[in-house]
Amino acid sequence: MRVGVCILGVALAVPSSARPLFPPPHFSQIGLASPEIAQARAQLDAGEFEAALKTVQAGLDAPDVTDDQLVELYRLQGLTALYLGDETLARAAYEKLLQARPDFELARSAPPKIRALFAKLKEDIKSRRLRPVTLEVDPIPDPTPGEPVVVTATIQDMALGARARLFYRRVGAQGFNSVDFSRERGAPEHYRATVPAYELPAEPTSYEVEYYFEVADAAQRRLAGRGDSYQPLVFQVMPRAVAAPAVAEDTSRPWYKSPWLWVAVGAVAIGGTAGVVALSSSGERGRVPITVRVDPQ
Amino acid sequence: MSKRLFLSAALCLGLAACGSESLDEGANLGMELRVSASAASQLGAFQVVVLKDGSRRSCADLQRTCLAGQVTSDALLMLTNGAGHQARALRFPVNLESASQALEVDVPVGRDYALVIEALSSDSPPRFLGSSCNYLREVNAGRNATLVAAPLTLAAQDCDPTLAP
Repeated sequence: MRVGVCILGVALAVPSSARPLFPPPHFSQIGLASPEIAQARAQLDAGEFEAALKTVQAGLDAPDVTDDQLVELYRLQGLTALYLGDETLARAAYEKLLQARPDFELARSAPPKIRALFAKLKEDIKSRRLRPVTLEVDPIPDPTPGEPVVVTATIQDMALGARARLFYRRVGAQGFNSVDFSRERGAPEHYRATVPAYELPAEPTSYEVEYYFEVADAAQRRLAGRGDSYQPLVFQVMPRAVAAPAVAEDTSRPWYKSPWLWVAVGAVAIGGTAGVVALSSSGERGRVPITVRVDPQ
Repeated sequence: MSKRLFLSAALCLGLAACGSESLDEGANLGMELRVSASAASQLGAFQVVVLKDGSRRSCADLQRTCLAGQVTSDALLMLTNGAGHQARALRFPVNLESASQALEVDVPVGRDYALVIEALSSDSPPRFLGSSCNYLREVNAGRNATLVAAPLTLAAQDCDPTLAP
């Protein structure tokens, strides 16, 4: 107690300056730095609904949108769509908003029409009448050893806060490694993951790699997938000297390990298209953003 | 007076929270570097370096003095900044007007790295003010998982932080 009083006393003795003790957070740190959000708000305020809708869509298509930004963009999209009389779009927007923020509530000043739709949507979510996440991805053909493998997938109705990942391990290894699918620029439903080249080295003998795809929400609940840790798909990495064409099928593989069998039997998301491309260059890079922040003392 | 009391109490709470670490898996990315306000007034640039064989390195040792005197250039990865400039040590001029600064570094895909951020003074030649050392388990293509960096350890040393390009 005495120490606390002492600290407070010392703190009180510090003369106040013109600058605030805690500078306001950087705009990007509060998650709403998207210029599209500011522009859409202004357009909405000015009654330019069509323009606001286009601006919101541009914001949704932008790469690296944070969850907070997505929530605000979907809120604006829902509101704008209702003003334009497009209840279908408004419903889709509010569904996404509620996936990310189940406790989200509209302001009390919101128009009754919007509040009624919002209440209906919340009821739908409670009774699980929303469309499920769908993952469309093809099995990975046997890759060229020593080269990275890029897997593309189509994911529809992706929940905010959810992650799509490719899990893989060399047969015999205990745990799975994973790489995240990231959204491709300008294509909201197209995602891409890369298995690094160093995970698939060329060796004197062939070896197998087990893998599966999974979309899970923030609570790690599986929303969609293809294969799983108990019944993974498999591809084979051939020795470099006898590396086969990427689509060649190894006839020595047991029937129950055939990826095509599990495509037919176990896939959560059925059908669709995806491509697997082996990169010709191994000099791939990953982006590591860094935030430097000053703590006032 | 009550406003000052409130601000002072908040300051105390903020100071008490210094040094805590957290891991935010939900965020998109990145790394946080904390710098004291007194050091911030001298800051001229941040120098970002990524070392191979991160698990074999001792961050405590690396942070004691300039990295330049402790590692050879072949231990450093070639980095790229947002403008496409490539170097083994990237410098970012300090711009902390809003109390934060965002940097982006492209790192070769791989694993077992150590990422070191050195705070350099605005003097000429720049002085080493301290550094933050962080283990990077892996770097995947595209955006990478969140990593909250260790706080910057202030240990101004009389050494030359310049690294060979």
